[in-house]
Amino acid sequence: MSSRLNPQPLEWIDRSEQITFTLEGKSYKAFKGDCVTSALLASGRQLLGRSFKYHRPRGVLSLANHDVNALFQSESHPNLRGDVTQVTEGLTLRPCNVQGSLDHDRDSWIGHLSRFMPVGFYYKAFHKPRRLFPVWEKLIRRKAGLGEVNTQWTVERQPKSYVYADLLVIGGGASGMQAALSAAQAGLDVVLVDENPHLGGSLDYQLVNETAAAGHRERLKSAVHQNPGIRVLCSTLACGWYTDHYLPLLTPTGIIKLRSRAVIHAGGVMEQPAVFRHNDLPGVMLASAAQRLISRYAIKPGKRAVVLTANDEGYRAALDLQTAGVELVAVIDMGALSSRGEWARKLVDLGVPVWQQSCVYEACGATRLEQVVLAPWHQGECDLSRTETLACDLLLMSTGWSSAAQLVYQAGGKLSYQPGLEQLLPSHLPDGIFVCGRLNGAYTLEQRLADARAAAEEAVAWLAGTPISRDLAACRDDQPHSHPWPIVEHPKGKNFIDFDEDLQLRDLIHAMQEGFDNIELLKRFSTVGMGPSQGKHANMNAIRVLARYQGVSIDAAGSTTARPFFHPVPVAALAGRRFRPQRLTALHQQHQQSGAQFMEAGVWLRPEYYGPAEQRRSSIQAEVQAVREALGIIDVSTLGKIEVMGPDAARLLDCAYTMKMSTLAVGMTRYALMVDDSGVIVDDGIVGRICDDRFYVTATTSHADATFKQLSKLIQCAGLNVRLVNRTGSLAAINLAGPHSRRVLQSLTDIDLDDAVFPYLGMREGQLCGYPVRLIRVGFVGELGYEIHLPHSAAVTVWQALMQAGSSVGIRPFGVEAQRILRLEKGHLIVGQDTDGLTNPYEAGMAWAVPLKSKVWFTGKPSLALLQSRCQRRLVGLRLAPGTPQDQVKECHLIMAAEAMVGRVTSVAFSPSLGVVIALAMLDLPLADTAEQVEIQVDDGQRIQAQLTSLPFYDPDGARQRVNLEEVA
Amino acid sequence: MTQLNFERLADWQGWIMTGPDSTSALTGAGLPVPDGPLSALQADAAIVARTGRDEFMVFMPSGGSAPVGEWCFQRHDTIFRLSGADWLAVMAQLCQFDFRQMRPGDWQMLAVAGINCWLYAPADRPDTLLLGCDPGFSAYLAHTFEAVINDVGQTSVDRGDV
Repeated sequence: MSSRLNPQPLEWIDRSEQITFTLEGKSYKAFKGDCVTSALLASGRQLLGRSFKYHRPRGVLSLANHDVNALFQSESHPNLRGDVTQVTEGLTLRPCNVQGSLDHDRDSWIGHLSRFMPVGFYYKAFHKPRRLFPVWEKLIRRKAGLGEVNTQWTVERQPKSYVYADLLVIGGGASGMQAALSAAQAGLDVVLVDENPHLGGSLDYQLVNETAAAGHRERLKSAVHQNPGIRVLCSTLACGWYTDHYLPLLTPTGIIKLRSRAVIHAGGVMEQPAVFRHNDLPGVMLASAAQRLISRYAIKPGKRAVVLTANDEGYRAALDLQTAGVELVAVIDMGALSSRGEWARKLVDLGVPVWQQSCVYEACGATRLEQVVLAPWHQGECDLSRTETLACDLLLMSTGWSSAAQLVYQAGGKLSYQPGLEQLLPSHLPDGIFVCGRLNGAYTLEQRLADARAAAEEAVAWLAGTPISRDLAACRDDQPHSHPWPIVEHPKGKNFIDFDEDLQLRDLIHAMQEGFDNIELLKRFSTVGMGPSQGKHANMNAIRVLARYQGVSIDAAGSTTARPFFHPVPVAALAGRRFRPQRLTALHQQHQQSGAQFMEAGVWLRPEYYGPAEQRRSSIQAEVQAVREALGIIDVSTLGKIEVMGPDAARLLDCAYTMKMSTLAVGMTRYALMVDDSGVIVDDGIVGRICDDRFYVTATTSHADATFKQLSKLIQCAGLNVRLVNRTGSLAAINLAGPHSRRVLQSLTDIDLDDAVFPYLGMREGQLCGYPVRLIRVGFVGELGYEIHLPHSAAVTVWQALMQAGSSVGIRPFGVEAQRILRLEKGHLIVGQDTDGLTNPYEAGMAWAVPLKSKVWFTGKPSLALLQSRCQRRLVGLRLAPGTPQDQVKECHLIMAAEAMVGRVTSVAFSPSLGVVIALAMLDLPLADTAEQVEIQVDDGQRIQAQLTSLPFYDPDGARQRVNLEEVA
Repeated sequence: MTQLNFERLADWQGWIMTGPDSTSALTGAGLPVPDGPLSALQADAAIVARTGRDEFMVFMPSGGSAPVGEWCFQRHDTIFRLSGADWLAVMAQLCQFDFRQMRPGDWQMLAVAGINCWLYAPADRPDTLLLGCDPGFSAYLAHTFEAVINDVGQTSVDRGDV
């Protein structure tokens, strides 16, 4: 570990625990707490990655999650950022976008062809001839890419959670900690987030050697830690802002959805690179990156250093290098020493040469920095007649900052350029958004703390409903910390603006010359700021270039929008925990014991059939046969069950359903068809009358909640005196169907089932196996049958008793598939399967359920009155020729007339009772009225003949469900 | 921190009653009548919640005095008890509600893990939450809570070394 320094006072590494990981098969040692980048640097490796387009060698740039120079791939995760990814034992890495190895990238020749690949070349070069585009696309994707997604991935989901707070403070530096403390001391419930694993921010790397800062550091950290009103979330990135201060916080274990009443942004600033030839060479880095390396990871960033600066911070960085034992070759100041402060004076006292009014013209080296060429700098131009060359292996850039204001933009805040500070700073903030610290132009520690207190005071007052007006500029510095033009032209280029996309200065100039002279157009054409860094290190310089070459101010040039999420978020975090409610009936275990194969019906799990999967077809046919010839039993607990009570109950049901329910006799039920305002069928069921002011309503499985909601809405809209109770979950329901149903059921109940006193469509209440039940004599499957509605807790006992009592007649449980066939044989439609989002009762052949003349009003009546004469299709019955394979025709197969689509199959099944395949189909008019045969186009394109037939297919007179079937049979 | 615990209260029973006679049905059974909508009162072990203008839900351990009324129906809710100091962290993964606002004796009707539930914070048991749901969802809800409790037990929030 040649570059590792002696222990630093605030280092993040734990030297007591060593970790081993591999890169390109080579083993490296690290300490716990090391990031990938620091561990590689500690081992003497400077080359960390290859650039996106030209495969140029890249090293450390920001060490702050602001660039992707060091991008790696593990077995399971693409695009790991080496600067912020902590090393773990056994981690196996390879670099992204490399052909061969990092040191010998076979695609590095692409850089030599850069003159033939100007900005936007791919828009112009590959679209002709068109047939070759797929070839080019494949090549480009292989040569220029990021990480590869492992398609053998295993499902990974990180749970999301919801958190609430009075105030969110973003940024755990001096400003953020002070703002959080001040707000918490005023009684607010504060959440403080920072993307780093430790609080401290720049206090802990930029001011680590400042004795004056030590006291503040200790005070702030201790006070934050001890304040119960502050919840601290480290390693947490606030990556988006949504209405009403709803912010996703990306943590290592998943996303927190935070709803805050207000937000203080104290995210600080992002250091911006200077632009000169070969500013991307390994060894050239931001000054703050070197400070982070030293203070966090105890890494010596180089041996011989030159510092390019345009502010005081560059001198501070130079002092830190000197403390770390780095030889300081020179400081190159783009301004004058006279405008610098105490740190510059200290450095001069140390005898370090300072080149004033100068700049770096060029960095030199093959795969890493070897020397820099400097030149006098005057009004944005280099004097190339007086260049000097300095040998070095480290060049720090400290030429300016940009506010980390992405979330301020998202919240609707405005930033404007402040010439005094040469920085875009907040000028207008929306309600509930506050800013402080360097993000707001407060640079000295005293300014930052004062600004934080003021922001907290402002937030507290705003939350108390007594907003105060604050001058955002009150605590700002009066010295510029950014150079207005840190950009040096070079005839040979390679002076990069955007490191993600390998965009050079001339690329942006060419884009503007081509007419892309607006920031949004420039961005889209050149892709500046569109890489994984999202412009964090590129946008400010791009705006400066646009403004200068267009001859407008920075404000007039404008800035782009940082949309949420402004930072990449893992799919596992977005996915969250899976909530997929599954609803089981009271008889679920009973079905399992009977060998049921289950299927999903909405949220419900229902038996599809009973028996081994390999005997599916025969099991279903046997179930159908049992119902037709003996006795079947099915769990219909999933039906919606609603009690309707009150003086206006009948009126409500008249409004809700097409048919008249107020004329229903006590103890009887009636089919109930529900349509929406546009006349489309949405639900069906039955309505039973218990007494004058009380009804019992059933609804389809999938529409039960919606029906309850619709009834509730009608009560409100019409001002009806009605009470509803949804008993869907509290009641179970069992349907006993078949010729022997009456006899078997009679043996267990005190209700008289005789046809004379309990006719078809009747409803009775009584006892069954000692439990209170409601029996309804209905026949959805076309046989004598009774629906038994009973308490949830009684279901198992009653089911078992019925099975026991029916054993002598061959009772058999049947599932949803047998029920589907049974009702298809009867021509009964299933809402949602045989109907779609446009089907009205006339199309469904249910004009008999729409009494337009006898009912004054019901929901959907006006629409149905119009639709009556505008019917365009109709549900018809089809019968396929005997011998047609059972699975050849499927639901949704089209019905064709010549080449025109004239309908579709909605239900199809082999009818065991009829011995042929039967179907329901929605067929266009007038074909539905006139055709005798139609053609169904099946999967392989073949057309199958089907004969139109009247409905129902089975027992057209309904005799089996109305009379004593034991006599009929 | 007390250990998180999630258990099913198997011996509880419940009713829903509605209509103009519901108040007298409650008083007739010796049960209190909550004043405001979505408020609840506890009498001995019984919980009475007002869920509408004249709609009430009553839950109590088996053996209690059942309310009787014309429009009174037995419910078969599955009732769970979540307890432990970290119950807020568990609910934060399952429900959008701001549970910091929930005080002892409060009643809520919320979507928890995607299903409708009622929730009651017993006045006499801090760090405890009763949840009731449709019996059809009991297996799903129990499984979901177990998974979350397992995760919450293993995951600590990174507060940093402040």
